[in-house]
Amino acid sequence: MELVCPAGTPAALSAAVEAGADAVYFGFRDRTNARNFPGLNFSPKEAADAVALCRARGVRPMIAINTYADAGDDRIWRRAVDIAAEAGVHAVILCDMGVAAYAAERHPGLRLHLSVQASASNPAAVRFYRDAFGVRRVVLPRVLTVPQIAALTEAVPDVETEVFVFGGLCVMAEGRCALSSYATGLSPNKDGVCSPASHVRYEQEGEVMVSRLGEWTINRFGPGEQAGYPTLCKGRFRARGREGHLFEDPVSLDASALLPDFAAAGVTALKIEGRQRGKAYVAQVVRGLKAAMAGMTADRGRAADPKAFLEGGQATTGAYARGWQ
Amino acid sequence: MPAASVRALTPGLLAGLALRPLPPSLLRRLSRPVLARLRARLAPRLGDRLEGLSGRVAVVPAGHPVAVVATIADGTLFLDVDDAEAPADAIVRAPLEVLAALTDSAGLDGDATFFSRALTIEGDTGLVMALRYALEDADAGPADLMAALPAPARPVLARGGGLARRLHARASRDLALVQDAALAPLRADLARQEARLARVEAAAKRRR
Repeated sequence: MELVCPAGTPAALSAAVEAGADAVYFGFRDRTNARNFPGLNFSPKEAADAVALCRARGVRPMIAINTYADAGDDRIWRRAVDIAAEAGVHAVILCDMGVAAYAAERHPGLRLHLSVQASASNPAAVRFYRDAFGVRRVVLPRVLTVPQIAALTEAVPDVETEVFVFGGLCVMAEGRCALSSYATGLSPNKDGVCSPASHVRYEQEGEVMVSRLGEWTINRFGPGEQAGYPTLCKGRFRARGREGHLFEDPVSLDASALLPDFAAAGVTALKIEGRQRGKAYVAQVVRGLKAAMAGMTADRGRAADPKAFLEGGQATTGAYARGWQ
Repeated sequence: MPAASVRALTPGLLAGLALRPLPPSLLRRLSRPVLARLRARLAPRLGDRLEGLSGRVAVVPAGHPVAVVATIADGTLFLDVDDAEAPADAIVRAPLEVLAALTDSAGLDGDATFFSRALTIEGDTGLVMALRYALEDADAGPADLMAALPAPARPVLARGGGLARRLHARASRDLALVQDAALAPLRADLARQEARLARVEAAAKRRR
């Protein structure tokens, strides 16, 4: 299995390469990628330099163009595909069918991966993307169990499967979620921003931290309580007289304990979420997971403990194991 | 260093408290040349990551009387020192040790530090994020600060760096002991209350 690592900046990309990444994914500084945050991402020149660095170090560079094109105007998405192809990336990670069609027709040699933003979660969907656009790999949504992943991988053996192994946990129908759009008017799927920083505010009320998204108060963290990302899906609300996390707790995915299960399921690649994270996260999580993948669990203490990076200070294996059932 | 292990009582906090009697204007006058040199070093490496942004981000080390203020004007970064309570579009507060560890790829991650509540952000979150990514990509760190210090101070600090680190580690351990001793009665009281609450909950459950 290969480890696919996030890079939000050239510095993070270098950190991933140094830490032993097999592949690195990154995006452009615009609405064509799902981490369109201020100060983050790559210019076309930085992307070309990043591809060259990866190639020189034997690392596979991938560019995420994983938002949905505007109705009637897909020029920046087409341009992103062209720039990625000209830079010589190993693959582009797409979700929009029109963009995939453009990439397949205009750049027939370009390897296409299907983003998790397409939410393809059954063999028929994966076969469709394979047949229509020549998709070679699908990044699976974080809602499948390991046996379901194994069955899907077996059902479409000529399409590789990639699963998230560590980082932020989105359990929504990715690419279809409109919670952030509802609260802010900006869409994760169209604008590349889930809970855009421009709409996020934190306020300290003594030892209590209040997080707001647009006009919505989405959480109040008590003194010393571990915090989470300011997303509505991880907000704490009062409903039917009870207060709680209606959708999901602030918690990170850590499926490193399931590495042998993923291998047995026929998974080709393991993905680390976190292009918005810093190079300390990238360097230490990549190093820790590479050690775990190499079966160096006894030596894992020498690598940084990825648990130091968890949202809410908590880890889960999510739907992979469904420990709650 | 996991963010959760960062304590409130640190040598950085004591250093900040020691600086409090000094007037901020004096601290500003002393630090301005250093910050000007630091900015000159960083500016070419920031690229255009701050493009289109404007605003004032105050970075306040816990307990210190002054903040380092990063002013972004049409994408250009300026650095200065101001009163810790001076208004800003965004304010970042954390122990000095946390702020230093955020510049090290073997150190702390910004998001994790925020999750652990060792760092707080108020105000314009987008401005803070952009500044963070720009500084990180520029590889801004202790070496830049060292190079920005007055020439006579550099060799002294370079030679004494190892000793300073050892002293800091020793002081951190001693202060941790002090903090634990000071909090011990509170922890014992908390444990008693938790045990009492557990008994009350168990009794309530039996009655149901």
